[in-house]
Amino acid sequence: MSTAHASALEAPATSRVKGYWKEYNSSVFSLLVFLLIWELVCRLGFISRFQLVPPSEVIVVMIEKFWTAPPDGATLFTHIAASMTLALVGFCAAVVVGVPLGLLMGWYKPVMVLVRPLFDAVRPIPPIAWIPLAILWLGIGIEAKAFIIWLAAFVPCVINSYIGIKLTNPVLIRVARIYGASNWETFIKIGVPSAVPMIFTGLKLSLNAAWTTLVAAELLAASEGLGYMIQMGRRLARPDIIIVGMLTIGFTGALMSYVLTKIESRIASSRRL
Amino acid sequence: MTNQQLSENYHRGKEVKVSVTDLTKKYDDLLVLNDISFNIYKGEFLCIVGPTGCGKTTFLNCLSRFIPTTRGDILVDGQPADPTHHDMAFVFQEVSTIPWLSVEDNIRFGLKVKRRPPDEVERRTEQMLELVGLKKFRSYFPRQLSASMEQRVVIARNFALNPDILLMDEPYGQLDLKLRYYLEDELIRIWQEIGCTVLFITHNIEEAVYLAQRVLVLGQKPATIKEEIIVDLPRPRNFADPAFVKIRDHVTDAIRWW
Amino acid sequence: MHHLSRITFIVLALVLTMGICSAQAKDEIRVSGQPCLHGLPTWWAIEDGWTKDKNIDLTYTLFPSGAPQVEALAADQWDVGAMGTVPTMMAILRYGAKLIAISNDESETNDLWVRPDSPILKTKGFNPKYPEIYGKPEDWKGKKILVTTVSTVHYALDATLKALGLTEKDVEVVNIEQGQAVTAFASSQGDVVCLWAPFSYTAESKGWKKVSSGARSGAMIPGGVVVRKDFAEKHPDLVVEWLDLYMTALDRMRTDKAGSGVWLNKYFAGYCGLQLPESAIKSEFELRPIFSVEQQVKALTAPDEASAWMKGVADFFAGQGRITKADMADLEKSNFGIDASFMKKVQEKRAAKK
Repeated sequence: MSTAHASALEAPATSRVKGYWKEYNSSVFSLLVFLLIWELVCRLGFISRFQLVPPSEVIVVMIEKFWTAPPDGATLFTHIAASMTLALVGFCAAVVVGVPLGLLMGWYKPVMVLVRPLFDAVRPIPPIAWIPLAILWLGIGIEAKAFIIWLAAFVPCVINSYIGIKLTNPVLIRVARIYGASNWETFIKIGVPSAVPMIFTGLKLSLNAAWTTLVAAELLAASEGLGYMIQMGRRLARPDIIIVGMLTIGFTGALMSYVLTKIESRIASSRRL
Repeated sequence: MTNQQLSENYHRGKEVKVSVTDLTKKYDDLLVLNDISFNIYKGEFLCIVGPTGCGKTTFLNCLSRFIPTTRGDILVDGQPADPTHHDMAFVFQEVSTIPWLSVEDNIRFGLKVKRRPPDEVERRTEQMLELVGLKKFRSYFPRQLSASMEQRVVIARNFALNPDILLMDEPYGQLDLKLRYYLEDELIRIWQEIGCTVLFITHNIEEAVYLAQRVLVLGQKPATIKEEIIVDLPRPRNFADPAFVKIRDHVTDAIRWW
Repeated sequence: MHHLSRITFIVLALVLTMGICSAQAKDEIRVSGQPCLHGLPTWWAIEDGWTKDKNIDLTYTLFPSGAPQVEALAADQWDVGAMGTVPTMMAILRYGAKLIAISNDESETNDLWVRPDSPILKTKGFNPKYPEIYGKPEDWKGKKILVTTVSTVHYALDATLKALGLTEKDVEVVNIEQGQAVTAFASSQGDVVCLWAPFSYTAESKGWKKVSSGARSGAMIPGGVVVRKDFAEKHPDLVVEWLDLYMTALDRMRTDKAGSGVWLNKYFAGYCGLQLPESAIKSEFELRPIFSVEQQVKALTAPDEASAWMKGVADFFAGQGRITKADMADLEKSNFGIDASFMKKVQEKRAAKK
């Protein structure tokens, strides 16, 4: 009667690896098909040379940009580093403020009543509209730009943390309360851990929002960064630079999201269903 | 011996752990619990049975101070019941393992909330792991366990506190028969080992007679204690034993009469 | 009854067809512009009905700045238009556009400003060759300068620094858009701010002091009038027609400053949503020289005028690595896209009329 029912966590290793490869290969394949179509459309003249640059040229420019500064004044590495720093500062600030705020709002009614109207009023304002105020309050350095990013990034943190903690299993709350835990202790020991999966979803959305707001934030004032590079590409009528900028933003964003997912599986692995 | 004598013998000389007086619960105009008074003795295994919907769960919620009573006193060791001062434990119908804690951390949870000294926490955790036979699975997580294993974790967590009162609300209702018999035996074994006070609620009469030293029959809303039946049978009990059947039928009749 | 209705129908049909035919008889010219002095002429022509008796139809599209204007050109969205020097250069370099006129001389209205308490104001004319530039080199060293890079005012900054024997390495350059630059400078950010009209007029109203400009540092900044390559090849006559109208407006802006000022105000406030004080409107005409047809022809053909001015800007960009050596060679080969033929035809047209 006492046989353990430890469920098989994963399928046998070989079939798992095979499955992963298949998925990976099909992704790569579809990407290559996309690039091929793009190249052909340009080379065969379906779209004017002025309107779209073929990927072969874009790749050449991209490789060049890794170690040459012209025409925007810095190498691609410098731009990536500058933008990443900016986005991560804004993102971390958003997490530090947004997650606890969302959790508290979901647990303590007075906090909710106090914060909710303000949150609802601020939330629909596009971050770009805050640029003049950001300059007035914070200047034109990284603080002001990180603030623009923070505005976009903290919304998913708050919302997801709020929903996460609201979904706490009421039975677990009773478990803690009957052992004599105070409301605060129950919040920390049951509410917060219970919300962790939702918090991580919020973090991913938040990082995404931070990254997509990059271009807007760098409009404030920037001499480096991927958004800045795109602006320069525009002023110099260099669509190839613009596309390099966009692709770099896309690729780097995907990379950061991947890293975050890996971190999540480390921390929240006990909850993977 | 007559029932009356049996009863008197039973109550003589026992130390009262929990004393319930005039417990009344009203939701607006709906009277659910009506003037319930009884004692639970130290180390006793008491079962409460009644028809479905008679207010058993409300009764338990009042006892555990989860909902306020309209009137009446609940005293534990002579003091008004309070989860922060008394050690109360509750086993729910639903699975209540904490999903992000391992088996051993689940067991430690109650002890930690009660701020017991670390060596006591470890000692008791080890004891319970041994007692419920989950030592091999100490670092497993609830999602890796079967339902019955999870309930054992919950039992272990609660017994680890050696609570003033352990309240159990139809904990085996969701499980199949074989499993249920097995867990009932487990429960008795652990209770005998630890020796804490247990209040077990069920609508399953056989289960009540199998487990309890004393059975209280709760009537329909507004609920009162209709009858008290002493179960003076040796353990392990046998469902087929005529004495068992007699008591079982007695309880059944008591419930049916309304 | 039936006869009457039939006749009415036929008459209506005839009128409609004539209407459509006459409408089709008018050639459409799509013009682009910015909320700027050089955007006024076409808008003025349309508003004042100058094409009523002509067989051309003008449509005008406003762009907030040069970059989207150039992008629209690449997408064949407009035929002729006026832009700043930098977008003009990009249009010529990348899309083979032609430079057919100078809209105005913007050298003085691409300027550098400081706050009244700046130490730069203490000295004037450090370099006697450039007597109108303020500040000693030490005053400028290490300063934080807000500038929209890759622009004419950046060119003016570069010329100013050169005049003082400095380079960009001696100062801290921050790239920032015009609107943001004004807000930032007003919030005590930066030591020097580089602006162009009409933002420079805001600077004046805030009490900031001008310390240099393109004109003062020897950087000649010509505003460009540009035609799309295809359109120039297919409809040269239409280009001339439109250019004639453009020059008519420019002539009035040159000779009747007060009257033109009224129209400029209407353009800015009514159409562009831009409120400027009286003094600013006046300055637009006083600080930005406009060429007559004769002056245009000379500028477009003389080797030391339009060619040299465009070369100056191109050299600046090439020096900063903004355009490649190959780009530079292309520009020189095409004489910076300058095509004086259309202006010459306007000149002939006007001579014939007399």
